[in-house]
Amino acid sequence: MAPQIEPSAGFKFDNVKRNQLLGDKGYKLPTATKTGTTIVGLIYKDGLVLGADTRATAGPIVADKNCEKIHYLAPNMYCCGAGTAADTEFTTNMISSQLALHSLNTGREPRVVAAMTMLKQHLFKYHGHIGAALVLGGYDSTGPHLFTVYPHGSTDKLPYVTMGSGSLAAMSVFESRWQPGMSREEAVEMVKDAIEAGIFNDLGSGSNVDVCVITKGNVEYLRNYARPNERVEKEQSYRFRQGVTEFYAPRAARRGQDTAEMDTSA
Amino acid sequence: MARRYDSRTTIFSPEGRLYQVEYAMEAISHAGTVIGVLSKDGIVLAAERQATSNLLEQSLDNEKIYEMNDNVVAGVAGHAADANTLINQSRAIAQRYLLKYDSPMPVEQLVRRLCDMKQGYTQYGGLRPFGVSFLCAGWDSTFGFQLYQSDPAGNYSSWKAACIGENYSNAQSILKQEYKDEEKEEAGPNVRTVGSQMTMDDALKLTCQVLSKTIDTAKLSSKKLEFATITLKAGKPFIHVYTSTEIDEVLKKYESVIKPADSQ
Amino acid sequence: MSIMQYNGSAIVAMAGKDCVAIAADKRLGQRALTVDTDFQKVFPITDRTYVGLPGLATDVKTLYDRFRMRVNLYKHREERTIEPKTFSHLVSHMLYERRFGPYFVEPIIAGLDKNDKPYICGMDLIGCLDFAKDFIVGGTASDNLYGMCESLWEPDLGPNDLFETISQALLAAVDRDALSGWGAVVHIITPEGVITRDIKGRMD
Repeated sequence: MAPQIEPSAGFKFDNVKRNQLLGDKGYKLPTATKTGTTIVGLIYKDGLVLGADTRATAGPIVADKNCEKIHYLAPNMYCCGAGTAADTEFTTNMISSQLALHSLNTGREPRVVAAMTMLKQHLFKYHGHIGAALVLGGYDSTGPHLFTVYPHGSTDKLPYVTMGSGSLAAMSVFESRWQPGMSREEAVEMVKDAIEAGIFNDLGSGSNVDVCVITKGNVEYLRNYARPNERVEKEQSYRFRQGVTEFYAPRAARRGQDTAEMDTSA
Repeated sequence: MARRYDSRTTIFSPEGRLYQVEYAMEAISHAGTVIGVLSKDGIVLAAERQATSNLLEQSLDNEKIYEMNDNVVAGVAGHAADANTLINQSRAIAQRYLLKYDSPMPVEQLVRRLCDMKQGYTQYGGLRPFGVSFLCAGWDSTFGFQLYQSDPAGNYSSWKAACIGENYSNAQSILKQEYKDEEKEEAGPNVRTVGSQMTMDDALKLTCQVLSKTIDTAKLSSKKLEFATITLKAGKPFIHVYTSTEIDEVLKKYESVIKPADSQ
Repeated sequence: MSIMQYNGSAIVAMAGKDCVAIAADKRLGQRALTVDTDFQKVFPITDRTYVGLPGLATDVKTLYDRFRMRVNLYKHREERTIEPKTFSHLVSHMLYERRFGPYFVEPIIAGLDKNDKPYICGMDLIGCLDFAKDFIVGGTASDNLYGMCESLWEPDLGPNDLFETISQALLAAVDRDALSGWGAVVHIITPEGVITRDIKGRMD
């Protein structure tokens, strides 16, 4: 009997019919922000290193020059995301939330396989329509683990991985140089080089390198570890003289603006 | 044999009474008093807190007076938990109205919807009624300032001055005596035909007076009270919930009408 | 033609020193026909946070109504006004809910938080947040605006300089976009208040 106050959880499909109709009339559906991306992960002697570039694109335009692609999942687990940016963000947020609950329920540090299973089951449920391609890495009670998760829900477990449009460029670096049992310096340097290979050779990747080093009981998130694309300082200021822009005398207040309160009609 | 007919809301007694509803009203008559006084410039709401303790974090503890909407503020008497649910639901109802009509919900409509909900719990479902009475003070552009009282049965009525909670009959009789009112007919549709002669100042004074006579503590202080007013500011309703400093100022201003503390 | 180009718009937000600015054009079109030259696309959410909504006009109006409802509920329940960062996450959620049937809007949010620190952000139509420190652009003239802002923006502009910069960036950008323009509105949000100005531009 009590009316529902809180909106229900989950996806809503109200607008699908309307959008379909518009599509049939010939209006192209706009593109969501994608992360063209180069994301990598590798396992070394003491743990694992994750790396990502920082470019987000909307079609051919760079929407965000310094976005964060290494997402937090748990204190011992991070996840790089490629594909549709909103999907990677919300999916990792959701699984992060579920992992926290799981961890409280079990009284244990969450395992990487748990995150991997939650992710793949969620993505498979939506049959690839959620465009999230992820590199998942973490260090739990069973050691360091590195997985890739594809939008349709398949996973691979590997010692070194690359994903995204720049994956081939990055993989070329790994294939020629990776060895088991590397030191931390070698590992981080290799990740940086792999991401830079993507940044410079792939159009979908660019800007800076983010690195995340995960070891037993410790995580180092090195945001903007390398910045090979810093803009040169502008030689001239383009400031305008104050008063250049002409404007009209004040007019009647707009919707919502006539009081500090929002709750008034038009 | 009242015992047989009082355990369910969904049945009448042979005398035609709904005992559960009456018991709910009985619960409210033990709750902290809430007084509302209408004036031509606004409405004053004052409430007595029942739980007072030095440990209570007063600035964060709002137990009697709540904003429902940008144009309605309500005082609550009865079960606090029941009140919370109803307030939450009213807030959502008011916003859904705004979403639909792009216009703030008129006060009576909000009160009516609230009362319809309360009435539902007296007729079907087998659930007990809400043990809450409200004094809703609001303003809309059609009828100006209005004060409504609603009870657990789902009844509501519009008042110039009203009181709910403990000692309400006492307060009601004082209000009846002291309230300055003159009927003033105004022509035209959608125009209030009753004008109040009270100013906000008068209303505040009367409220303090009544409070001092109905609250049974030795001395009125801001620790025991919650205060709110709704007035117009630049043509738009303005709700002011008083801080404890502001309450002390009001009490000081009208201390002449406040009954002096009983000598020990 | 993409559905985002049906009505036409140009919206930009910039961060300055202890202030933010958000500006929008005023055209409402139906493909090539101009229907309104005073269409509101930037709305106040609180007196220190504004949201600009480029895209399909019907979704602009619907979304503003829904934001207003949720922000009011927040205000009454939490007994405080919503911070711009919190609001942008609310918007992001509302958009991602409709991941498979989205609203055709790409919101831009500009405001000052409770410590008077400037905050701007934008998102795509399914709620992917973009937290820029410099500027956010949107609408049919977004490509032009990217170019103008990259050139004209510099850090730590005061309210008056920010007004000039954002106005000139917007005016130049819409002059090269047939679907936006016909006047523009600029809001400068400072700790002391909001200055709103209608700027003079080409009406073609």
